[in-house]
Amino acid sequence: MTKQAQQQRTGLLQGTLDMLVLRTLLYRPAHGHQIGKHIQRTTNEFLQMQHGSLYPALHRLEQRGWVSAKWEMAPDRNREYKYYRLTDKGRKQLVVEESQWKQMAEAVALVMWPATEES
Amino acid sequence: MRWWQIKKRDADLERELRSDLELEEEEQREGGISGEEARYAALRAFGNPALIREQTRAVWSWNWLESLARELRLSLRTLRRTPGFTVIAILVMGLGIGANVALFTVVHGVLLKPLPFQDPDRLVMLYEWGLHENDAKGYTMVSGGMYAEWKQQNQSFSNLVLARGSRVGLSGSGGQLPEELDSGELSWDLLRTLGVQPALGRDFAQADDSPAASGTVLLSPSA
Repeated sequence: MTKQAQQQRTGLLQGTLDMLVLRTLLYRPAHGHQIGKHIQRTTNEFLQMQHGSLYPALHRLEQRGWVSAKWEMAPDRNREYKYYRLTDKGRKQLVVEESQWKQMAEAVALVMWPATEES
Repeated sequence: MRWWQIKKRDADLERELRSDLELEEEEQREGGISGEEARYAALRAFGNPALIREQTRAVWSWNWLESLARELRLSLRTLRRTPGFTVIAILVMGLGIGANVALFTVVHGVLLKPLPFQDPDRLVMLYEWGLHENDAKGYTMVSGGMYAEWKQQNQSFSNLVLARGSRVGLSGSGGQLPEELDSGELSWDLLRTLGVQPALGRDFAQADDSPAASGTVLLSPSA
């Protein structure tokens, strides 16, 4: 990855990482490693999860009460992992962040790809 | 947050990072990398655990006590690593504290400690203030007549006394060299007004306070 590409990716991630994590946890709880892998895989490896920002984000979300964490046995491995689970508050937050992101994306799109070119 | 909670939180993060790192390592191994290589590959993919730990810890809001304890630990470590600087710093601080203590002792003795007399908070000193020669302003000596007038008209004080510090020469007998002494001239009732008495002999009596009386002195142990 070139340095420029790296910067682009981290720049993209900033502020949206919380939303991506919340969305990942929407249907099932997951531990840190799974969350990172899931985002990475779903975006076809475009978003490389950097653990340096993933764990701080997870703990920040936990502190704000948007996710709750619990040590639980993994179903496929005989070991405990710290599973994060979306709270009701987190669910609401996800809706808020999603609509904000949509507005942002639409606003950017209006500038970048106007419906009719001005003559 | 209490210290044991901090410890628990630290241990919890440690465990979380370790378990996820181990999982990464297993996945690397399943991907066909063997032994030590899998561990390094996992670390590469995972990132620097110490750095992640620091960054995650920074999310927890440190209250001032926690950060104070951290700062203290850090400074102690730094000081231990540079003994020369430590010794000099401690010496400088020691000197500073010592100088302050010495100064405060003086200030306490001179300004703050009450006078060793009866009712020290009711003692006041009266001066005359006026023009000296060549128009300089300042305190002037109270004349005897003025003192007598003040004493007669006094309504504010329980008593008025006179005192004046002076230095006198004491000549010895038999060719001994004269000595200069710190002394004071007092009205007869000064000591009883202050509520103190001579340790030996008698205090001045009203009869001593007259031009006709013979001279009387009280000796003080310190000059």
